[in-house]
Amino acid sequence: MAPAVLLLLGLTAYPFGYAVYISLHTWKVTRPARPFIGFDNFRELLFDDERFINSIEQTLIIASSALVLEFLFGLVMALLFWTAYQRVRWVATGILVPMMIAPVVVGFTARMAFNNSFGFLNQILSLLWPGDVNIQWLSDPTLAPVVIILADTWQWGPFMFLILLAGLLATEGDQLEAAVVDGARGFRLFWHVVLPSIKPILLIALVLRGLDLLRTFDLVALATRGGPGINSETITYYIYNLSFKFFDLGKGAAAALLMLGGLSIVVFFAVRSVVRAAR
Amino acid sequence: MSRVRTRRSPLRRAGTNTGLTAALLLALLLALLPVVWVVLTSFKPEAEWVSDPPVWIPGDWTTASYSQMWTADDGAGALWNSLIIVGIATVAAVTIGSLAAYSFSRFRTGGRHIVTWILSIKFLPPVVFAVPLLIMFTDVGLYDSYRGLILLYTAFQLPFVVWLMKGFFDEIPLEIEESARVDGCSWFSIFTRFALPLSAPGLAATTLLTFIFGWSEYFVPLVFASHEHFTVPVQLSAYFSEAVGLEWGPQAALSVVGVLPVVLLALVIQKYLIRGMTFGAVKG
Repeated sequence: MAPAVLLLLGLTAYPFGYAVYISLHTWKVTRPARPFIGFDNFRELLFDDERFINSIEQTLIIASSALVLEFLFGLVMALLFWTAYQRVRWVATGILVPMMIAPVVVGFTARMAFNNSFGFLNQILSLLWPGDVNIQWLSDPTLAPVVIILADTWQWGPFMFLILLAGLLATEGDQLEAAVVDGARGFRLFWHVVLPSIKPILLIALVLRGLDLLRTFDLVALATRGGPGINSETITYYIYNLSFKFFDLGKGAAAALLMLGGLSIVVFFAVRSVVRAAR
Repeated sequence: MSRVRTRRSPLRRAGTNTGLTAALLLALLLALLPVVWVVLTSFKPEAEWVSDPPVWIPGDWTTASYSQMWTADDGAGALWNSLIIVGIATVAAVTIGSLAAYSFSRFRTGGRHIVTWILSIKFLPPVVFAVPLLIMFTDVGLYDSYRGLILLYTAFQLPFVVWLMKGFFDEIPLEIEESARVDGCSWFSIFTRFALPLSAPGLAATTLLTFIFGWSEYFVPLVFASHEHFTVPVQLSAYFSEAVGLEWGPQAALSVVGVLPVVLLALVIQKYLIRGMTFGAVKG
């Protein structure tokens, strides 16, 4: 275990200290002078950088919408599959395919699919809708985040489905039958009997997906590149731009540390719940 | 009696079978349609890569996109880089990670906190460590090298291996190892002669999953490699550089070549997918 811990320490603790150091300086690749400026980078980000605030908003919008959609898709599918699972296993296998595709490929596919004139999505919508549908998915400021949300849902809805199905298949038949005998039906049965029995698994699924969504990068990089403008720029993508496009390492490090701070709180509770559920 | 009967969902009334089938097929269509599009696009002639209205079935099936992607765009090089880096890093991560996992499982080394800490690392966005690591790596000559990339991939995969393998080791009954211990076996030979073989399916699944996750990794090679060491995902994104137009054909070809083996691998270990993707929290 020593090598594992050493490797992880070297690649996390040291960079962390270094990041703190960088964040306290004006540190630009293009400029040799790196004066110490205290917490100015942090102050600028929090109070004087609309783009940073925008990236937080976009991240929260994308993450929460995708999480809800994925959960609903997963739940509906899992409930549909629950009883028929043995007969239609092969359908489940097909539905799982998106989950195994690299996020960059999903991003590229989304970029093709959502293209307003060359993409197949508008084409299919034109078949279902009267008239020629020409939605500017990728260039409309409000629709660009929707592209990310839909693409992420396409890829990870199956994950929710798989997990919830595992939960449902593990519920006790006896308990259900007892509830049915007592007269519970439909939504009440679902709410009072089924849902509580899959709650631990549900929690894990939401936590894992939520954490992944908060650092969405690959999908954004390939599908929209944060655009149009900065309308689908997530926090991780902005931090990447700060450091590797604008070469403002000081501010990039400060933004990264702010994100780390925010995320640590979430991760702390999330990991605890996962560890508990795993036992 | 009720146990013999096939279990039916009390949520569903009888007679909705058609509806069920329709819903399932619709979901299947939604899941696979984009995949089909990518595969078909990879066989289209250049004129059909981008066309309005979009063409689904290639008018003239061709593998031109594949040859352009493979030789002119050096997709072969990217594939080779991916194989070397992800392959070696997977073996390294599984080796180091299994040893660590065994020690956590049997001796509770470092207590609960260290295991939790290791899991936490998995959830931190790599962008946080990117700049300092990049400076470090440049200083010691690891930037844009196989060694550097393998080191990073190994490190980022470790938490996953540790967690998954710990779960598999926890499931082995202690009695076997205890009697081997009484017979005078050292811990290391118990590990190699009993623990590993007994968790062989788990070890295989962990290895394949580690490989699959490494194969999809985009951020690390994006930041820590220049063109010479591009892996498949970075190569795919490189097509979006301003100089290149809408090269959908070769991009689709690279996607197919890059994704297909991994999807097949994943289908092989479908049984372990949930377990892997939830770090062992859901046994599936």
